[in-house]
Amino acid sequence: MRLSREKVIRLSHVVVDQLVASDDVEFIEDRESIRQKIIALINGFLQEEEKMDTDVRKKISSQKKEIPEGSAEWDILYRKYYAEEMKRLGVTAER
Amino acid sequence: MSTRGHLRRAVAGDCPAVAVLTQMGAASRVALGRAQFLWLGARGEVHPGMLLTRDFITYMARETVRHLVEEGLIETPKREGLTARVRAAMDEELSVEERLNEEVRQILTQYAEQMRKTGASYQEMYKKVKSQLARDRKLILR
Repeated sequence: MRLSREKVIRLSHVVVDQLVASDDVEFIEDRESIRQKIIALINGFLQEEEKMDTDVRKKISSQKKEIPEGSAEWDILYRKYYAEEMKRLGVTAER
Repeated sequence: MSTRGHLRRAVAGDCPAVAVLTQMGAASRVALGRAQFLWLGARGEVHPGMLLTRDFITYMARETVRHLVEEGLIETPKREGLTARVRAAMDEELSVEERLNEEVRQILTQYAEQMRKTGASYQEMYKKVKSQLARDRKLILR
């Protein structure tokens, strides 16, 4: 996992703090339940990200020509396929 | 190996470039200047110290707010504004190491002459100063 358990917990607090600070947010559930939900969500996102990374790497290694990892070509392909995955998730690349 | 080659190894290893750059000659390090510490993540994007791409952080923020609203944990009439604030907060937390790295670089620049005279290792000093600051501030880097 790209983030430690501690970092995920910290992130959950950061998000809850943001919700609390927002005047236009009404809490239906208690804060702790919401924070636990956020932890579960973030862990799910991180697994999704790991899978994306694996898929992108597989895609590169399945090319006819062998492309060594770390080469400029590998780098370009990684960015291209990663951006495609992000697009699939409904996020267009920020530039 | 060329400077570019070393940076590519950082890309390949998905590791902080600073670890790779310690293997580089002093001349190359000077030539690289500030760029020497940029972390080239496996995504190939130059984003110093970031743990996740900014695009992915955007996705996490959007989906977090969507789930909380659609599953009835919170209510908000302004979902977009909330998403933007959550995204900014996530981004700030996930770039804490990036900002710390910059601060350590600035500190060490001030002591460059002293370090040169005493023969102190830049890499060692970098690690020490960084871990000290992280401890003092109770930062969770990654």
